[in-house]
Amino acid sequence: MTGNLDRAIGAAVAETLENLAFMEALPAEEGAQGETLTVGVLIHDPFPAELRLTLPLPLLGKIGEAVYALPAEELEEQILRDLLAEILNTVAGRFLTAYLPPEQSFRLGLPELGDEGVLPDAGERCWFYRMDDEQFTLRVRGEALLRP
Amino acid sequence: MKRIVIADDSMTARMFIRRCLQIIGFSEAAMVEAEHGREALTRLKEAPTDLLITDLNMPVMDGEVLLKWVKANPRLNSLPVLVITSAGNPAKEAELMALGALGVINKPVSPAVLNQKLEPLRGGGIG
Repeated sequence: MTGNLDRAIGAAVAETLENLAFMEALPAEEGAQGETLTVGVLIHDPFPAELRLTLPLPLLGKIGEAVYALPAEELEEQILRDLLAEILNTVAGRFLTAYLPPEQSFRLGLPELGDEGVLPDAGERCWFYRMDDEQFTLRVRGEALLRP
Repeated sequence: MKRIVIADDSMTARMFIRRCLQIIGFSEAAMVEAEHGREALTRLKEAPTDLLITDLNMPVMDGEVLLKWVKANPRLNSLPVLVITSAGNPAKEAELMALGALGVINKPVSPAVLNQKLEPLRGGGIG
């Protein structure tokens, strides 16, 4: 079960960033550092869980350049926030599609910016990735997902 | 003039869909955007529309409710509705197709997949 979780998370992150921004995300030893932006999304069904994605602002700007074909300095903060939310929204959907049986539907909340999670602290795992010399972090909370 | 309504609460997603539509040859179509299902219905009432592309997970009115409203409306129920969503899987796709969706695409959309789903409409004069 843990292996399935790791594979599904890794595939969702890699495929989303590859297809959205043509950028490669590789596993890393450390997570996001410096000035960052965090977005979270709740999984409502089939079980309560939460995904949170934290990106350093310079990396978010580079992704924005790739997605919008504009220099980072021309991308307003609102656009970058929306971009981060859409990245997590897509990662969450791809993750659940890979992780759950095909006959199992799921329901996500709307992405929300903010550093604090909604679910209780008990049970959290982090995945670290590196892309374009910057690190970022994906956090998952929820006993139903993290229970071994 | 050909007209496409794109409903998604993410401006990034709307931009991406617009770009894919332009790449596959729909650049002549007027692309009208909406941030949620209720706004999409308002846009649909403003002028004849050839295609509705909608996300599922939106505030105010989600895409599934929007699809039901469109298919229940005598003036709109022949409108092709394509769902582009992060919340799609085989189970959800079957539900949406039963409600009358033209097709379901998982995000992030690619021009090739979008082209494949819209190919049946090209003979109808919207592309």
